[in-house]
Order: sequence, then structure tokens, then C-alpha cells
Amino acid sequence: MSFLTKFGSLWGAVPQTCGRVFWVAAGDSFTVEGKAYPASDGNDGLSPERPLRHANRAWALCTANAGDIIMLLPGTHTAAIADGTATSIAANVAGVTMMGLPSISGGNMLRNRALLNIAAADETVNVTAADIEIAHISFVGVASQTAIATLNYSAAANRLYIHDCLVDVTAQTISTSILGFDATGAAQHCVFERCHFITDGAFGAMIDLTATLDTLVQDCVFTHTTGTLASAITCGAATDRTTIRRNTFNDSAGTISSGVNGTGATIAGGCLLSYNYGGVTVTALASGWTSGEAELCNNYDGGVGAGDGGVLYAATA
Amino acid sequence: MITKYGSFIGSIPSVVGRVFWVAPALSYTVDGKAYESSDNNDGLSPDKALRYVNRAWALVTANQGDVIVLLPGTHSAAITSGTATSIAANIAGVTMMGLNCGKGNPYRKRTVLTVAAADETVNVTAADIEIANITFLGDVLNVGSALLNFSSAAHRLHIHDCTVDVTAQTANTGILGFDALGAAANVLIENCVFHVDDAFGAMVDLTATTASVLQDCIFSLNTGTLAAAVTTGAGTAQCYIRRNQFNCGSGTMTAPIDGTGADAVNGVFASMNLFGVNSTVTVDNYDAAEAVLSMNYIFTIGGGTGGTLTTVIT
Repeated sequence: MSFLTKFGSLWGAVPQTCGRVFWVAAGDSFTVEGKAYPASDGNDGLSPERPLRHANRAWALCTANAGDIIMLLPGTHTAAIADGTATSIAANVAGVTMMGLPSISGGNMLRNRALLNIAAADETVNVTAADIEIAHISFVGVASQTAIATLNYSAAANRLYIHDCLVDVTAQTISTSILGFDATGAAQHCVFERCHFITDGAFGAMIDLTATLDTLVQDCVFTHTTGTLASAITCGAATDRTTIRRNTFNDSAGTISSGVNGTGATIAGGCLLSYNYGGVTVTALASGWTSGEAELCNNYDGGVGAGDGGVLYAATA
Repeated sequence: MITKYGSFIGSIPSVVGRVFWVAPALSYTVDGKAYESSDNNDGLSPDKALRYVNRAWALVTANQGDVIVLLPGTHSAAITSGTATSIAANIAGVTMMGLNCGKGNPYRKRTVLTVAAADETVNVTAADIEIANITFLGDVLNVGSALLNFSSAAHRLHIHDCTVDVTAQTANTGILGFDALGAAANVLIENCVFHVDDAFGAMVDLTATTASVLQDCIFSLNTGTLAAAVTTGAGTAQCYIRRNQFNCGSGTMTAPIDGTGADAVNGVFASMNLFGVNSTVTVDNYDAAEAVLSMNYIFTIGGGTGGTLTTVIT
């Protein structure tokens, strides 16, 4: 018996991918096993000892639908081209997974060790291809990133899967044009799971689902520390077959006017909300819907001490 | 430290068997390099992948921990000549799984499996088979068969993290998702998503199965009328249906959980399931005491109660 398999994987383990793993360092050098190695976009990126310098370069090296993975090493990554010019990451290669290096236990969804931002007034990531997975990344916005979404996804971004990520916009200048994950077209089968969003003023929605189909948002936490946030999640025209469940909307000393806002929604039964929980000052867990567009089941507003222990939420208008 | 088997000290290996690799096409890419698949390969290395899943099932050994890994892409069930043929999952103890290349989108896996014929994609006729991380995509040529059926020999069948999508097919009540043909025991179906858009058959049929569980699934109806999403029937016993969600969209589910023909007292335990507004009777066609309900709710729309406890079974 060969104890390492003949193709190099460990005996007894089913491989997790058939593609290449491209390693990306957060700085000009990175330490692996106690040794420092230089990062460069001239490296091939195929070993943690030869990491690339920018995630943008990794996307340029990936092959579509071949199981390739981009692994962001711990630290703060800035989206940029090889000369350092801040440039949005074009996630335009289908079937690629981009992820931060999770810890042994799978990573802290409240704030992952791999941070990603862009020092420009542009999106950090533009997703324009299908079957892309993004995980274990903290999208922490910086002040120079003004008036634009952290990540947007087009109509071609079918089956986009974002999980175990953080979006923190609190270092940015407050603007309703700053969104978290923003739909720019009718993508289908997108899933947002176990993500954490931190806001502290009148920002845009942290997840926009306008026009998307068959979308699932679950197990996310929306932390709003101060000021007024109009909406944490927005649906809109043509949003259909959407499930939004088991999310918590915390408004601390601020106010979330609408947890899930359906302004502009047009599809009867287009959105199902269940087991979502709102803070005491969430004005409405669901609002902006006309009759029949949103279905509710077991969503609760929070109650404070000596309060009611939680009130079943029933209104959608 | 590495054990003499090559695994890490302290880690428990996933399998003790062989891993058979299957490519979705003649040409495929592994580790950045292009290879050609063939049913004449041994399939034991990703650079020597088999061409068809059917061939992999012919090579596996029963109850030895063998695993069939389907590389990402759309796989067609066929024999070596390319003739569309159902996959005979008839070797006990085999796992057939798609490769997520990540955690894998719960709504639709990157590995797709279909058959371009009027036949099932997979027939499970052996025990202890596991099927995971696969999107079963119905082909328009499949005009009246289930996507997967499992016989009375399919004890301990475990299907998880799969998607069934029949929306490309012509609506027909003969098209089911996972269909029980006999009294299999200890069948577990979990974390699956079903996409339907008209009058198809049930997406999960558990007739005659015993001690089985259906949990954490989503049934998504787009439009039209679906008679039943889940069916139980004569002989179904110790059946647990829990934490599933039945979305009706702009269509109607007449009986999301249908017990027509059920005959076992306390045969079905339904708990914590959620039903869309357009569910006619959420749990239906059971006689008294055949279905046990707890904490099942139907959604309501604006001005409603915010969720209504379901208590009716007939």
C-alpha cells in the first residue's frame, strides 16, 4: 500500500478540489512556518512560499470551471494591480473560489483574519461570472472608498455563494450609496450565509436582492451601532423566490428603519421571511411591501427587560 | 508527524477505499492542466479520470469504502459508447459525490448530473450508499421517470446537499425527485433543494420506508399546481419530516406533505416545517393518529398573524 496516494494527497482523505490553489500575501513579504518569503505578482502563486502580491493577479491566472481556489493569507489585502494602483477585483472567471485562510475551527464569522479593501472610490470586488464562492474574508472599508458598494454582482453571477464574511463600513464616510453586497442584475440561485455586517449611520442596504431569483439569505447578523439605517436588506422589482431566514437585526443605540425593505417589489409571494429577529428600535422588520409580496412566519421584534420577551411580527406594509 | 499510512497523526481518515475520478467531458482540467478522460482509464487518479459515472460504478467494490468523485461540470449518465443509460447504483457501501471546490452553494452544486433519456438518472438498489453535492438536472427527454429511485434494498441510503431541478422538463406527475420503490429502512435525506414549476410528482416519496428522516430541505415551487412535495403511503412508519420549508411562489401546493394511503399509526412525525401561503392543506390525507404534528407553521401575508400553527392533517 502506498501511504501517500500516488497523486500526492493523503491516504484516506477525499480531495477538496481538483484545481490549483493560488496563494496571495497581504504584504510584500509573508512568513510561512517561521520563514519570510517575498510576495510578488511575478510569482506563480502556487505555493505559500511563492505567494502573489495582489488578489487581482490571482484572478488573472485562474482557469474557468477547473476548481481553482484563491487563498488570501491572513492580513489586510488591498485590491490593486501589480504596480500598486488601486483597482477593483474583477471576479470574472466562472467557478473560482476566493477565500481567506480559515482557522482550524473554521474561522470567526464576526471578523475573519483576512481583510480586503480598496483604497479608491470603487467596489472592492465586481462579480460578473457564475459559480463563484467567496468566504472567510472581512471586507473592511476605508475612508477613500466613497459612495459605492463593497461588492456588486451582475446578472451573470448565477449561483454566487458568499459565506462567513464580514462587511464593515464604519470607517467610511456615511453615504446611502455605500452598500454591502449589491445586485446589479437578475442573478439566480445566490446564497448569502453566516455573514456579519457593521454599520453606524445612514448607509445603503448591506444586501440588495433587487431582481434576483431563487436567493437565500440566512444566519446573518446585522449590527447597527448608531444613527439611522434605512434598510438592512432590500428587495425590489422582480425579486422572486427569495428566502430570508434566521437573521438578526441589532440596532443598538441606532435605528434600523426597515430590516427587509420591499419597496418596488412586484412579485406575489416573492419573498418568504422566517425566524428573523429585530432589535427593540428596529422600526419594522419588514416594510415597503404591498399585500401578498412578502410572506411572514415566526419573525419577532425584540423586547427589553420587563418587556414582552419578543413580539410576533405580522406587518409588511 | 505523518502516520505510516500517510495521514496526519491524530486525524481520522475519511475513507479506507479507493477514489474513482470521473470527468464531465472528454477534455477536462485538473491542477491547471488539460487531460482526456476515458472509460479505459483506471480512474484512480484525477489525471486519469473516467469518462462516465456508469463506468465508475462498474469498478467499485462493495463495502470497501470506495468513493466516486464527480468533477465539476455537467455529467451525462451513459455507457462507454455514449448511449444515455441510467446509473445503476447497485454496489453497497459506495459514496458518489460532487466536488465542491469550496463549501459549495447550498442552492445549486457545481457538479450536475443528468440523463438524456426517458429514464431515471440513478437507480439505487444496494445498501449503505451515500450521494452528495450533486445537482440532479432533469432533461427534457426524461418525460415520465423519477430522477432517482431507490428500492427496498436501499437501506441506509443517505442523500445530502443535493439539488433537484425539474423545471426544464415537461410537466408530468410521473416525474418525481427521489422515489421510494420499496420498504427501505433508515433512509436519510437532508440539506437538499428542489425546484419545481408545475404539476410534477412528489419531490420526495417515502412510501413504505421505515425509520427514515427528511430534514432541512427546501421545496421551491415557481408556478402552477404541485399536488404534493412529499408523499408517504402504505407502510411508511417511524418517518420524521422536520425543519423543511415549502415555498409556493406564485403557484399552489395542494398538499405539501401528503399521506394518501398511509396506514401506520403514528407513522409520520412532522415538526418545525414551514409552509407557504399558497399551501392548500399543509399536511393532508392522513387518517386520525397517522401523523403527529408539532410546531409546523404556515406563512401569512400582510395583515395576517405572522405565522399560523398547523394542526390539520386531513
